[in-house]
Amino acid sequence: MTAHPYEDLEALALGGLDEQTSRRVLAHADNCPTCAAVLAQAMHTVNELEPQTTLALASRALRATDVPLRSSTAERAAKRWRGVAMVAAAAALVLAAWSVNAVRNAHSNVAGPVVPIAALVHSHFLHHALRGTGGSAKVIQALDGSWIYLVGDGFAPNRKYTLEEMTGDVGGEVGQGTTNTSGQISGYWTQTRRHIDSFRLVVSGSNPLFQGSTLQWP
Amino acid sequence: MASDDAALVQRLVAGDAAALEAAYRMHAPRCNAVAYRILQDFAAAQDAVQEAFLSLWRHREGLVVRSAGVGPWLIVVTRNAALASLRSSRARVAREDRTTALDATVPSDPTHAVEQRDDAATVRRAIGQLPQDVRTVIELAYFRYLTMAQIAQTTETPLSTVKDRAQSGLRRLAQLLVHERTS
Repeated sequence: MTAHPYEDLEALALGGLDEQTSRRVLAHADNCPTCAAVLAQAMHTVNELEPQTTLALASRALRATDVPLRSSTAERAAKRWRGVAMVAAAAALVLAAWSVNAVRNAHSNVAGPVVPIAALVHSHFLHHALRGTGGSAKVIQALDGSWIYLVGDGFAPNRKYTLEEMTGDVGGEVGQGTTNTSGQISGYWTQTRRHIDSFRLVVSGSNPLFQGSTLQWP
Repeated sequence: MASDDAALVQRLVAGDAAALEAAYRMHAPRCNAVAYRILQDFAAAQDAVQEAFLSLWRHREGLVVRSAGVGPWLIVVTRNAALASLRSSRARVAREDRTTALDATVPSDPTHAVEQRDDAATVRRAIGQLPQDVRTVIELAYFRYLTMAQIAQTTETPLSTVKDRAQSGLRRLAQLLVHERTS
C-alpha cells in the first residue's frame, strides 16, 4: 500500500485535484479503510453543497440553449444506459481476471495489512480505542452514529467476532465477522442515526475451554 | 446511507450488472445535471456521467463506494470527470466562448447556489461560520472549479496551506452541519 494521501482526500472530494492525482487517490482509498472513511465523509459533505435544484437549473439551461429535450429523463437514461452496459460487460471480464490474482495473493499472504490502525487520523468523526485483552481494536463512528468502522489487529486468526453497542439503556448488536488469516478485523456497518454510549467487541476463543477476549469502550 | 442505496452497494459488490443499471436509472439524471452545470454541453456532460458509471463498476469492490454510498460517490466522481473535461485544452477554449452562459449559472456570491435547497439556510449558515481564508478555498474549489494548485497561485499561498484549508474546511463544515441540524 502506498503512503496515505491524507492531504488530498478533501481536495479530491472538492474536485480540486488533477485527473491523474484523483485516480491515484481514489485507487488508494479503495484498499485503505482509513482513507476510505475520511473520503466518504468528505463526499457526503460535498454532496450537501450540491444544489438539489441542479436538475431544474440544467433543464432550464438546456431549453435556453435550444438543445432538444427529446424524451423524458427516464427514457434518456435508459437510452444512455445501453452504451454503458456494453462497456461494463467488457469491464467485468477484466475484473474476473483481476479477482483471480487477488485470491492468489490472499492465499499466499502476499498482500500486506489491510487496516493501518496506527495511521488513524483525527477528524470530525469519532474514534474510540477499545480496551481489553487478546488484541487491539478501534471503532470509528460518524458523529450521528449512522456508520461504524471497526478495525483491529493482533487477534487469533479465523475467529468470529461480534461488535455490540449501548444506546442509553438499550443494547444491540452492530455486526459480526471473522478475523482474517493474519488476525485482523475490518468491519463496516450503517444504521439509523443514534447517540452511542459504549461499544463492546467479543472475539470467540479457539476452543470451548478458552473464552476468547472482550474489549470495550469506555 | 439510504437503505435503497445500501442494497444497491451490496448488489454491486456482488458483481450484479443489473445493479449498475439500477444505479444508472436512479442517479443518472442528477449526475447529468451536475455535469451539465459545469460543462454547459449536453453531450460532454453525458460523457462525464458515463465515465463516472464505468468508474463505479471498476471501483465497486472498494470501501469508498460502500461507505460513501452510491449517490454521493457518483456525484463527486461525475463532478471530477466533468472538471477534468473542462480543464482540458479543448474544453478550455469552449469555456471561454461560453463565459457569459457560465457566469449566468454561477452566481457572484457562491453561497447563492445552495439557496434553493430546502435546507439552504443551514448550509449557508455553516459556510458563513468558516474562517475567511478557509471559506475562500472552499468557494474557489467548489464553486469556481479551481484546482488546489490554481488556488495556491491565485491567492499566493503555499499549496500545502491551501490543502490544509480544504481539509479543515470540509471537516469543520461537516461538524457545523451536524450542529445546525441537531440544535
